[in-house]
Amino acid sequence: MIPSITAILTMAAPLLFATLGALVSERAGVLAVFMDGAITLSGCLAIAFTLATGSPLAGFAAAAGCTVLFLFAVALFTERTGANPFLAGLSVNLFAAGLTSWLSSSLFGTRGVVDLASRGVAVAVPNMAVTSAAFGCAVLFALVFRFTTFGLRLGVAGTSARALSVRGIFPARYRVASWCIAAFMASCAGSALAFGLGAYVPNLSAGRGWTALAAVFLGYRRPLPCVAAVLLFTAAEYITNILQGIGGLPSTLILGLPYALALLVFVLVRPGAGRKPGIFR
Amino acid sequence: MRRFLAPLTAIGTGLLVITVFLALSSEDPAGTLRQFFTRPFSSWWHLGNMLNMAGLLALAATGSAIALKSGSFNLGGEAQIYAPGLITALILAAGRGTEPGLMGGMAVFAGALAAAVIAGALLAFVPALLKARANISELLSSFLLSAALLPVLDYLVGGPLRDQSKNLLATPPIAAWFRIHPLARPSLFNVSFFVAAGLAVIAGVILRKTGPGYRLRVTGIAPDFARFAGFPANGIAMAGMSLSGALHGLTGFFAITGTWYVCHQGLSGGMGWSALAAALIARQNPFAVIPSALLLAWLETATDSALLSTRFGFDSTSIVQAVILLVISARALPLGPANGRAARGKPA
Repeated sequence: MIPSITAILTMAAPLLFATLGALVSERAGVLAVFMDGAITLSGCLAIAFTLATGSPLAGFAAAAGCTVLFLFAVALFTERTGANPFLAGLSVNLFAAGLTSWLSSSLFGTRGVVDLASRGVAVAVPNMAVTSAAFGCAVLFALVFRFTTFGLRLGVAGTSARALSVRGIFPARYRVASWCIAAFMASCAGSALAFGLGAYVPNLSAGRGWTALAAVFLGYRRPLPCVAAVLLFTAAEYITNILQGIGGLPSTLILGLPYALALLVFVLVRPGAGRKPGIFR
Repeated sequence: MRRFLAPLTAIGTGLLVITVFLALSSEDPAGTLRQFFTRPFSSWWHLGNMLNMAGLLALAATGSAIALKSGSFNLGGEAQIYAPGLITALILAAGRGTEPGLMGGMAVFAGALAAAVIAGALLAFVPALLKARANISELLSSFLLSAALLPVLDYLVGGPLRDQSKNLLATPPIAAWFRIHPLARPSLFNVSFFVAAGLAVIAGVILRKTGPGYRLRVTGIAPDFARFAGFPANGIAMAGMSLSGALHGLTGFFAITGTWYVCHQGLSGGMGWSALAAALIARQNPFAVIPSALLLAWLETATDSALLSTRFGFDSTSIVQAVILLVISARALPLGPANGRAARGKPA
């Protein structure tokens, strides 16, 4: 029992990072649909920079910097042009798929798995530290949302942007900031996945970005209930892995589970009920 | 002229970005770019296949445009092409060894066509129903339903329904008498291009000149006003989405009967996204869908051709689709006077 709980807590870290990132953007009213692509892109960049520098920390920092900068540019474009945030997020996912395949081919000479160990870089990231960081972030986010001006304004930017405008505050700045924070959290998730495997694999996120969006709504848009939602999803993933291991479930079918699960949550929780703005028109 | 600014900017940006990627991927950038611009027109094989691809794109793009006109985003195009394609392949491969006769053959062909269209329509109807009943954005539900179904379809094609006698991850080929013959051999260009063009024109005329078309457009622009005017807004939106799915289903049908003759793994291959991009470039106008599908088909064929002379391959289609989708999604490009304070999120 204890090993199972430990395994679930360890497995939950990347999804928790992603969920918290998506939560920030959802509170600002611009749900980060790009999480899935941003996780894969940052994972690819983390491996590339780690191979270049020999340091996982430098690899993570550089990957996070690039991902945040990229999403900052997209957020700025979205705000300046009034683009649909959902389509903008989807285009990031598509772009990430193309860019990672280009980066993988041009830098590593393969579109398949890029293993750090076989290229002479040893990475030993302690699982406990990553898990603690993820759960620590959940507590930190709960405190920021509850007790800081930034957290309060972020929430108002999502529910009543006009109220902020009337007070002379730019809601657009909070929306852009929320995407940058989401991009950083996606980088944490992508790096945790890549370093956990010790390799970059195509479609690294495996739908976790979409599961994260579902967890946000299953957790009623609050950080600590989101932790419970993430643990529930991770326990389901853990059981699925066991089933796959004993040959009870084809691996191809598992690829669709995060999306099916996300759709089921949206049907059950009905996040659009009583809401007008944002992507839940 | 201003109305063409956004589509032209989107296409131009997509073109620019992909040429940069291609040039960076090649040891001979000039040669690669020459291939990019000339290869699609260098032979009947390239030109015919490009036109064939444009026909399939135009068919699905007309569907996307109808959904957009009715006020809905249909992001489930991939599965709405793939699933009907699989159904078509299964029905038309079932009677392979025995000649069905003219009437029997026509009946089976029509049955496969109807099944494909209905399957596509159903897959689009579900998100429309969820929107009408539970206020769940069809943007999310149509995408998630499609993304959840694609691995299932891949599993079926590569597993239980696979042709065990071949090494391909594909279903058994359809019978020869069900295949739509090419009009310009050796390319695959066939009558489906003209069907697509005809349906786009019919859709355009219905939307512009008929009562149902008017009601659909009004519902898309102002659903509350449509309800006030007594139009069944929810029903019209559902009809728009279902029609969109039906046309995607028809695309899957023609992809099997006119192009592939088998349903292989990953049949849709990004076609749903390209169709949506084509509809957005056409500004949801079915009449403009044909040229916009031609442009996109050229862009994809040119990229594929140029990739042959690069050092390595990559997922170029996703990059083109992403750039076009991002640029075209902008309501107010910073190129025109529409770029007001509201779009920038300035305080009042």
